[in-house]
Amino acid sequence: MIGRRQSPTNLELGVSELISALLMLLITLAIGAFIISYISDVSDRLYTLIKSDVERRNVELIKSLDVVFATGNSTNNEVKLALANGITELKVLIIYINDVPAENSSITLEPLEIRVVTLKSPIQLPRDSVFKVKVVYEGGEEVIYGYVYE
Amino acid sequence: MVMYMSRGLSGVVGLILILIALVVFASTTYNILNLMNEYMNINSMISNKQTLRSMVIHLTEGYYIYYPNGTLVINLMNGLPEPLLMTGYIILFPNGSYHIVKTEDSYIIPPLTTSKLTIGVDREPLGVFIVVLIRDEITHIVVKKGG
Repeated sequence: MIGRRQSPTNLELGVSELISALLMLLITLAIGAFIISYISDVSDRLYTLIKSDVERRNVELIKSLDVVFATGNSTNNEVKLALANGITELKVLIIYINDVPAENSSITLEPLEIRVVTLKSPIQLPRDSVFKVKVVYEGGEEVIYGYVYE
Repeated sequence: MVMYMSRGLSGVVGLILILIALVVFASTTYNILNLMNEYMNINSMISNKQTLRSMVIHLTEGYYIYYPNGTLVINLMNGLPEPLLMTGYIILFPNGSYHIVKTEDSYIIPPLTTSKLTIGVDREPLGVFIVVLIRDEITHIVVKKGG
């Protein structure tokens, strides 16, 4: 029993010193690896999130669209929308009239193009009423309020 | 002896792992901070775009006079300290019809000046909108009816 560690109760239970040393090393490695992978994972997710937002904002910075006016016609239930584009080609993804998407509203505008778009309104437009138009384009959205004249 | 060595070994391995974790953390923090800086710059530029539009609304003015012979005289006042590039205009008529003119040549309204534009129209318009480019931002000036 000389040179051996003993518990106060003289019990010889447990693993050998070499195995315990290996176990301790493994536990340290496992905890370390977990901490490193956790930090890496969290920071990667944060980086990706910010990066995608930066890219989206970059597109927003380049693209420029101006909705000049919007008028409605209750007789034929049509909306006229004047759009002016900035210096780069721009794709209008969808146009909402009172938060209802209009059909065939996806258009592409050339640089510095000014165009009046006529759309069939997805909702009934009463005469002398006000309606909201939201133009969603690649890089942002624009909102304008129109008036129904006839 | 083995126990003491193992404790020391675990300590060294633990220290190395902590150092690796610190390096990973520092490098990603640096990347994120760089990205945040870019994000702030872009935000500031987007805010500038909105300010430009706001400036055009508040510091420019336009009014038109319609003459019965079909002449429409538009006066544009650029109160901005920088030039405006007119890319075109839209004339809206009471029956819902419109007339779009895209200025082929660069029509520049110099800063702090007034420009006059004479157009021939069939009838009195309901509204006149001048589309202008300020720096890279497109916006418009609503031309009011003048006396």
